[in-house]
Amino acid sequence: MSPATAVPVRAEVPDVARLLLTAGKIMLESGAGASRVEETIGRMGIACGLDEVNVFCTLTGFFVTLVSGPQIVTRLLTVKAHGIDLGRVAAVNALSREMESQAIGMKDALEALQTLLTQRPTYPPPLQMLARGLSSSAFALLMGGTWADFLPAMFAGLASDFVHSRVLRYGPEFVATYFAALVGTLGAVLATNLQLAENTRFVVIGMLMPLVPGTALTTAVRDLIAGDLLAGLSRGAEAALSAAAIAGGVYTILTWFHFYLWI
Amino acid sequence: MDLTRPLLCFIGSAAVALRFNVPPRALATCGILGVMGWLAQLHFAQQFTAVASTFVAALLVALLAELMARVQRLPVGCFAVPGVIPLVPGFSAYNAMYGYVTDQLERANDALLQTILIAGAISAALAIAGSMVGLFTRPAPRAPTSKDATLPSSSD
Repeated sequence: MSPATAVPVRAEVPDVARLLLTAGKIMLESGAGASRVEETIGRMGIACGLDEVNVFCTLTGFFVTLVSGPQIVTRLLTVKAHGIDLGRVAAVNALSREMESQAIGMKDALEALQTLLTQRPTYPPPLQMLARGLSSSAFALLMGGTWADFLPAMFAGLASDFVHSRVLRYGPEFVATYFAALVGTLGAVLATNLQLAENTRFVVIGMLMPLVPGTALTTAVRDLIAGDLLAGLSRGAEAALSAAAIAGGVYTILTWFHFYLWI
Repeated sequence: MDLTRPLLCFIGSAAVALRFNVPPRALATCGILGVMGWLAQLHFAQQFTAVASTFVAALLVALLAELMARVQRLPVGCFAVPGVIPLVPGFSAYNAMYGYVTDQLERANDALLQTILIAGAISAALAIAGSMVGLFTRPAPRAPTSKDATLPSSSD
């Protein structure tokens, strides 16, 4: 189908709905903000030739109402977050712009979304975990640690990321973050007591800095500014919960070991 | 000038960007944004308080993130999130935890308040940068909504 004939006739509203729902699902699963989801879906819908697109997006799902002539379709999709993948958000956003400039038709766009849905993440998970460890050791040194803290911080970061991704399969984000901070701090304390690291505090700080809910905070603020108050507030609550979970994890291990070992 | 610490900051920010699956072409920019924010924080900390210097640094990072998002045609989050990570108040957060563990409540309360204020300064900077840029650029095209809607009539 060539781009010129790709503008749908009015009978295709359910197809457009499928396209928009897939796009929204990918974006919400990857941790995109509600304002961005609404903007992207709206742009795609108008590019498909609809008269009207109404999107209401929250943190855990979204509604769309599509109007084309006499046809009105309303769909609701609930979504469970799967982690942060900013590359995926960028890909869907770029696709919506291509559709807007009529560079790509509806069928091709749906195919692109389907491949995006089944595609592996931009970087293989072991590389991501390694990057997490490397960032931990870099921040441990940046905050004032010595070179002796480099490898312990890397392993603490690796361990906490491993635990985070494993627990996330079975439990909510809060629990996963708690155990990630717990295991990372445990690694730091043990490394110091085994004389492998010099400063517990810098290893712990390096471990927790990439763990902080930076993405949640940023999207929360942007949603609040864009007027998506409901999504912004719930995302802010998520960020606050994550921060509390990190604090709880660090506190548990420090309290435990403070009475038994010298830290 | 010792380049070890800026280099560490670059690696840290770029690695966080990689962890969050930022596309490869943006990784180096994320690292540079992280270094710039960190250097700005270091510079302004000579005259201002920790909260104020973090605010100015975060504002710089957020504005540059808005700019780079338009240059590289990527969502702002791709640049803003890794860029502000070096500004995260990890040190005072740890001090707060340690103070509570060792029953030094006054020290801990001070550190906790400091942590909350710095986190608030970062989010305020992100919000201000986002809305400032919105004032001077044309708004994102929004889909037509109920203003020109073909609402179903009540006889349906």
